[in-house]
Amino acid sequence: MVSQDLLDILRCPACVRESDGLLEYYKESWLICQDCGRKYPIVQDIPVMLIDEGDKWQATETDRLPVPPPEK
Amino acid sequence: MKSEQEPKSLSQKRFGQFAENYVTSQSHAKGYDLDQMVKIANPQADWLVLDVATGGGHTALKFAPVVKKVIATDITPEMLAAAQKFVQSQGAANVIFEPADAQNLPFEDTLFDLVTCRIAPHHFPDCVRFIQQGSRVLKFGGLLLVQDHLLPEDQTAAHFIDDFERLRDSSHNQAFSKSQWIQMFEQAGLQVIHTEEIIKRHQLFPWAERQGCSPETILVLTKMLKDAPASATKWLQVENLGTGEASFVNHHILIAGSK
Repeated sequence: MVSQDLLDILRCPACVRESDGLLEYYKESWLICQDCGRKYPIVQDIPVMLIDEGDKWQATETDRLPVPPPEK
Repeated sequence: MKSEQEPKSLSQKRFGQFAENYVTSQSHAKGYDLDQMVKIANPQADWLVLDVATGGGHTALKFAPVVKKVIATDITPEMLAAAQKFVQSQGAANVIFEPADAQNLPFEDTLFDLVTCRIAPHHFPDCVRFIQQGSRVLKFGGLLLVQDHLLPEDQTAAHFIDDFERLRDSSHNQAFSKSQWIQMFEQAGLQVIHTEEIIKRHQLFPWAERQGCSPETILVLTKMLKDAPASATKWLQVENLGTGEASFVNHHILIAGSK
């Protein structure tokens, strides 16, 4: 499980320079940017906060996100 | 011109391949420079520290015992896993490992007391953006502390040395001179409070072999040193060229800027 301390300080790397980039913690498996909709997987309790990763899932509807996310 | 993604992919590939080498590398694990980083930073027990491009995790491990928490980031998953294994084996329980791109840090503004980055920015496609991101996530009064390759101000020598380094390691993107470093810090709103030059002598063959260079590549590196412009030869202080003991120095800068 990701620590609350870390969840509190993480932001969307693509949006944080221009806006808040706040993230929704979804099913303990994803962090979803409230600004751009990029979706960052949490793999083995580590949020993968890379823009490329967020891009892969941006168009996927939230309720169709795999839980848990694929490891690769 | 290379895309921004190309050097990042090269870094991920190479550091994934050589992750364990960076964990065990003595020049990365200890030395005057690492001690000096702690001395310059003067870390406090309640500090939150970000170590960007942590590599083998040595900088994170050095600061962990004297601060509240360290977040260690790296863009290469294999490198981060190797660093995590190493740092945890040393008993440091206050280091969090997080995949992140130095140019797109996934953290809120004005968060960290100290941001460190050691011997990594020469791999970054856009070092200016990294410095700006480092400044963004720093608290006011916080410190950005960077150690990296240093190039001479002389452009001919600087280009030669970048080419020489790139032949040994294709993920080497660009190094900078002292004046360029200071300019990047100042443009990011940081006041430079410390600069220092650190010189390390390397034996050519082990230095090249550590990055997996073939004998043919080492021959080309040797020829490059033989034919180097005088200004580069002077900077590199080449010795014993043509023998198995060939060596040269590389220059690092240690630069600290306060927000």
